[in-house]
Amino acid sequence: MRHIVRALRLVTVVLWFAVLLMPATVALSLWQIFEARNNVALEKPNFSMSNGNFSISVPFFINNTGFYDISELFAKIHMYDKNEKIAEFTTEPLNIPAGRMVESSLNVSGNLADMISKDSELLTNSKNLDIGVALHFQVAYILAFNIARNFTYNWGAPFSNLTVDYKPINTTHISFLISFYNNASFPLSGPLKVELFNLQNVSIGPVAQMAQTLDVAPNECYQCSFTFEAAETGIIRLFFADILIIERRWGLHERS
Amino acid sequence: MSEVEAEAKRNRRKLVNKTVKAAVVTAIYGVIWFIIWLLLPSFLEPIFKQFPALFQRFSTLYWVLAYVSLFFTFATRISEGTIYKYILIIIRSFFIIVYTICSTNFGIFTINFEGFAFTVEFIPLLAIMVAINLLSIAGGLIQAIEFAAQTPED
Repeated sequence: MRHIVRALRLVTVVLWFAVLLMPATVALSLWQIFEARNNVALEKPNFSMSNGNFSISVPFFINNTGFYDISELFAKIHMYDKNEKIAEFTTEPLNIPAGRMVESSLNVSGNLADMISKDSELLTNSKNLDIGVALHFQVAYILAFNIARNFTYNWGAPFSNLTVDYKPINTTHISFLISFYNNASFPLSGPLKVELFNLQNVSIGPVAQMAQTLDVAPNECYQCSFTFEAAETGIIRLFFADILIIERRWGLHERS
Repeated sequence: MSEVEAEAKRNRRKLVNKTVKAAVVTAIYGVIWFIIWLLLPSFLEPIFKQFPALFQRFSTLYWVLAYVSLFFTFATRISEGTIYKYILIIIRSFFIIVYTICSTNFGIFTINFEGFAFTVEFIPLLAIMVAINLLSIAGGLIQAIEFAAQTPED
């Protein structure tokens, strides 16, 4: 019995020592990494958009000069509009072994249609969005750190100031002048489809459909005219990568 | 003077001796706790300057631990040679389990600084701390059993 008690006491002391030493060595390890300013660097984020899918990439490099591995390094981004969650993105977790230098990037990608389904105004209205960014990582697989910050992001609508001007050419042909300003921080590329419907909401047919591939740089205007063989009244719908952007009625008693 | 009175007098003297010894040991521990308290700010001053609220919380937690620790030091010393000593050791380990869980907010610690929220999660470490105290409880139980099994001759 006495030996068991003595062994237990020894194990307890050793474990307490290890447990109390652990946070101190982790702090020292992190200090070694962040002490030298050139051990961690974040580069300018890149935004891109194609066929209704967007991606943000933040290249970075980290030189793990500490004693412990850094694991589960990932970023989480939440987007809110008036306390309503629009989107949530998480980057792939990365591992940075001790003594290694890693050059990589934190990538998030999403589908514009998913975001638009939560807030349909995002395509046409610029607004302030609440963004929550959190960086998470584990040191020595035992201590996890999370650094979070909330800020306001001025979302620029990719189809800002969107106008659809109807102009009858003759009794059988009509023309629409579509214009907008890409107020977003990313280039807009993907198919823009214009489709006409009659007042009974039935597609007028293949002659009433036109598509064009967009490639509009940030802070650039787009303007294009579409001519159709159609009646004097009806409904026009604009789609970008199969996402409905706008629906307007044209002709007599025009109404948005 | 009867033998019973003499025995009672001896017991009283033993108790006074024990109490004095326990008080002296507790006082020494108290001085150590106080010296640590005086030394700590010099190490942690930069942190406390940034987070005055953290200092308040730390101060409360430190003195709760110090007072309870001193109480158990005194109580275990005074109950030396009785089974209560082991019961007190077990209670102390239980207290440390509850204290570590509550003081560390279940292993998640958050501070806000200049718009950033820094969170440290040390749940695995907390689990190890709890396990260590469970080992202490086991040790206390074994000692209590051993003590109860002893005959007066032992």
